[in-house]
Amino acid sequence: MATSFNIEQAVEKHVATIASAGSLLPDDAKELASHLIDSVMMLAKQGLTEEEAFMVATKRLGTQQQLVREYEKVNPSVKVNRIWVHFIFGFVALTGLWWLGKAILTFVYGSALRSGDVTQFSLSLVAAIHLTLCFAIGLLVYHKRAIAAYLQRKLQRRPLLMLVNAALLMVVASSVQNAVQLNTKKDVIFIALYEFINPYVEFTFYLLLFMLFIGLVSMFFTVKNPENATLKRVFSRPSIWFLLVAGFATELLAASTRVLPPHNAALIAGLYFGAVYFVGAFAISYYNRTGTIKYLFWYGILGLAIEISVGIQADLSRLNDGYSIMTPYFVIGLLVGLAGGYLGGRFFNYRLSGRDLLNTA
Amino acid sequence: MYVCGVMKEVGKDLIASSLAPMVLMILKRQESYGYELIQHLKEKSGGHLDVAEGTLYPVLKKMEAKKWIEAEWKKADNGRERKYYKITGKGMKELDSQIGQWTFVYDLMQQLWQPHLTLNKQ
Repeated sequence: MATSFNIEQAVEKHVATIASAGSLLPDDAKELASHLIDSVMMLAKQGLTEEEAFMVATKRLGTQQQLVREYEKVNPSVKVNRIWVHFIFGFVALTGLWWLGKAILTFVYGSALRSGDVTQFSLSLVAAIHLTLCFAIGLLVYHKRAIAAYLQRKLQRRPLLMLVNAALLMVVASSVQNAVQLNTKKDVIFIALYEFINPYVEFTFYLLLFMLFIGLVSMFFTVKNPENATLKRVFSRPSIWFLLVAGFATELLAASTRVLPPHNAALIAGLYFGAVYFVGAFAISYYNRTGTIKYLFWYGILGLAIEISVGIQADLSRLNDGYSIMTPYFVIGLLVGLAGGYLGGRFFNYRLSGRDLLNTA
Repeated sequence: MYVCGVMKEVGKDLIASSLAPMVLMILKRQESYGYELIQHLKEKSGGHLDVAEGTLYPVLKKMEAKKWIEAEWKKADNGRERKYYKITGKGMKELDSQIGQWTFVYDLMQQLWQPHLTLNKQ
C-alpha cells in the first residue's frame, strides 16, 4: 500500500487530543490507544483501508467532550490538581508581574537619581514611565478575557511549562531588581514620593496606584462576567458594591490631585477635585437612564464622608498653622462634579435616545 | 412478557445502570479487555447498543475502584499490550445482588403490565 498514513501516529495524536483536556491519566490514554488500534485492525480486516478504519474507529470511540465528561467523574483528583495548578500559577504569575513592575521602577528611578542632579528631563521621563505603566495595566484589564482564555488553554495543555515560565518571570524580575540596587534603603514604591520632590512624578505615581487598584478590583468584579471590560459593561446597571469601590477609587484619585500646582489655591484645587468626580458621574449617568440618582448617591457617599471627617480635622490643623481652610472647596467640588456629571450624562443620553426615536419613527 | 413494537434504542440512563452487571456477567465467564467486552455486548444486542465505545472505560475504572474487578496490563499474542480485567470475589457478590435487583424490577414490571393486557382483551 502506497499510503503515508501511519496508524500508530494517528492513534497517538487522537488520544493526545482527548487527553489534552486534562481529565485522563496516562494509563487511561494508553488504554484508549490500545482500543483504537484493536478497532482499526478489526475494521481493516473487514475491507476498509487503514485510514477509513481509523475514521470509523474514532467516531465509534466518542467525542472528546463525551469522553472527558465521563473520565472526569472517575478521576476527580485530576480536576483538583488542575485547580491547584491554576491557583499556584495565578499566585506565582501575579507575584512575578508585581516584581517585574518594581524592577522596572527600580531601574528607572535608579537611572534618574544616579546623575546626582535630577534634571527636568529625567523627571518627565519618570512621569512618562508611570503613565506608560498605567496604560499597560489598562490594556491588560481591557484584554482580560483574551488573556484569561489564552492562559486557560496553555495551562490545560502544558501546566508544568506554564508554572516554570511564571517562576522564571519571578526569578528574572527579582534579579533585575537586585542588580540595580538603589542607594536608599526605602522600598522602591516610596521613592517616587520621597526622592523626587515633583508634583507630576507624584501625581502620575498616584495614578499608577489607582490603575493597580482598578486592575485588582476588575479581577474580582468580573469573576461572574468574564467578558472584556468595555465602559458600557462596567458602568451600566452597577451593583452597590461596585459603586462603593469605584467611589473609593475615585476619592483616592481626586485626593491625589492636591499635589498638582498651583499650591494653596483652594479654588483650583476644588476644581481639579470636582473634575475627577465629574468624569465618574458622567459615565454613570451616560450609561444608565434609570436609577441614576441612586447610583450617584452610592458612588459619592464614601468620598463625601471622607472629605467631611478627615477634611475638618485637617482644616483645624491648617487653621492652627495659619493657613486657610480647604474642606468646603473640596466638598462643593465633589457635589458640583457629581451634579455636573449627572446633567452632562443626562443631556447626551437624552439626545442620543431622541435621535434613536427619530430614526425608528 | 409482552413487547410492544420493535425496540429501537436503549435509553442512556438504562444503559448506564445496566453496563456494570453486564460487564460482570461477561467477566464471570472469562477475563477480557475493553475492546473485546464492547464487541461482545454489541454482538449480543444485535447492534442495538448504541453507546460511545470510549465511555465504557470510565465505567471499568469505577468498577475497579469499587474492587469488583481487577486490571492488569498483559502482552497479547501479537506483541501489543492490553489491559485485561477479571472479576473479584467482591464482584461476584455484587453481580448476584444486582441480578436480584434486576429480576425484582423485571418481575414488578411484568405484573404491572398484566392489567393493560386484560384491558386490551375486553
